[in-house]
Amino acid sequence: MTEPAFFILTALVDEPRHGYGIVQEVAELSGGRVQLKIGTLYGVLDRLTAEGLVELDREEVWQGRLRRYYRITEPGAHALDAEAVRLAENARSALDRLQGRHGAVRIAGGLA
Amino acid sequence: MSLLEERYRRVLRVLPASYRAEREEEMVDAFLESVGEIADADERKPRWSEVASVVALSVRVRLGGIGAAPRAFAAGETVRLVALLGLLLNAVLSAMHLGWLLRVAGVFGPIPDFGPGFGLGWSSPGSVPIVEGLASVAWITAYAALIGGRPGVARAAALLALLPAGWDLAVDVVAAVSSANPDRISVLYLLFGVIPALALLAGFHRDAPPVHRARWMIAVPVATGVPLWLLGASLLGWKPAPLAWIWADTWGIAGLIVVVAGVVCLAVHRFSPGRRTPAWPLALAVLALLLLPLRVQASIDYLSVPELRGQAPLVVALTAALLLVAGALLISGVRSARRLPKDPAAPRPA
Repeated sequence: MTEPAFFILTALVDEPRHGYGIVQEVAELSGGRVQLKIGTLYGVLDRLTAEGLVELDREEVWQGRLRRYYRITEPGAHALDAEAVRLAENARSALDRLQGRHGAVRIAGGLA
Repeated sequence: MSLLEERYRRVLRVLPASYRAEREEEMVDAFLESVGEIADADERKPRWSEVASVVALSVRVRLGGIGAAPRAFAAGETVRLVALLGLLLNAVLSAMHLGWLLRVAGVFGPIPDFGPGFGLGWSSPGSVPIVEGLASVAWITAYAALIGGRPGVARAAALLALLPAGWDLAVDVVAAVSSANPDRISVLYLLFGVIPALALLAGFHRDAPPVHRARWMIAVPVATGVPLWLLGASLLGWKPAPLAWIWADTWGIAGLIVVVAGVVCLAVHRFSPGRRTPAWPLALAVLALLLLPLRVQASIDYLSVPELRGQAPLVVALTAALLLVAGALLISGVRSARRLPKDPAAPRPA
């Protein structure tokens, strides 16, 4: 799963959102690191919709323009859950090793 | 409508009409909201990064990947096959060329003397054979990387492989500007590498399905290039008639390979309707059309040089076969593509 897809699915977990709502939420979730362009957003949404991970929730007209709200599906929530577990395990492995390294450095420093 | 909105809608025109009909309004809404309620909306233009994202989306939609409409997916598969087959052909020719370079270097013993005008010696010794050898290795690497599911590595290797030919062309262009004698044929040779490389860049985007080709295919360039080279080398070693096989140079062999592959593809389409896809005939047609001008030029050369005229019928026949096969492949591919549904299913609230 790509990083934009991961963040878009995460943005849709709590409530359905429209295009710019997703862009804003992804920016907030990533601490401003992932700034989705509109072309990129709809490319990822097309793919997630085709895979059945996201679906259209409702359509609204706001200031004369069409807004579509998207929501995460059950398979989408499962896919996100699996990816989140995988990333968390990767992070835990890295932290464990770093902790061991810092411990070794501390011991070596203490002996010296 | 503000000028900014008008400009963004103009950018969206790079997208297919069917996609715009479905997405334009919500994309415009999202874009305008992202730039905010600015007072000087008539003064601003969409940022280049926004324009680039729409262009990239257009490529992904037109050259469809997973989840695309059948016709867009077929277009994507055609471009991906142009990349794969183009890299394969360049890799086979490169394997042959590597053998040729080693032969010229004297690795396989002394070089036979065929008389004036037909020597195998290198006309400009120095770094040129080394650069050409590295370019050949880069083509083989690009093909192997693509088969191995590493399109990023394949892209980098293909661009490296194109550098020497691109440099030669740039030198030719500079010389042409000063001498008014442009070498158009080198552009055509370069296109045979550039088009597959562009197909590689455009076709293997984020939504493209992963390459599932059998790993044994990695060995195809060497497995075919080496016997072809050995055949050519041994035939050229038989005195006193190397001229009989002079047509079987790199590009003659390439034409023959495409004609044979095209005939096999047409036979499969004719006798096995269940296996018909537009991608194979269209991709082979693109390769045949890329080779055609080179073979037409070769035919003219053979007809105009008295010493080569005896081989001209064979070269002209191969060129005619290439033309016929290209035409038949195009018709077959377009017909198959027209049978496919064009538009994707529109999203509807569940």
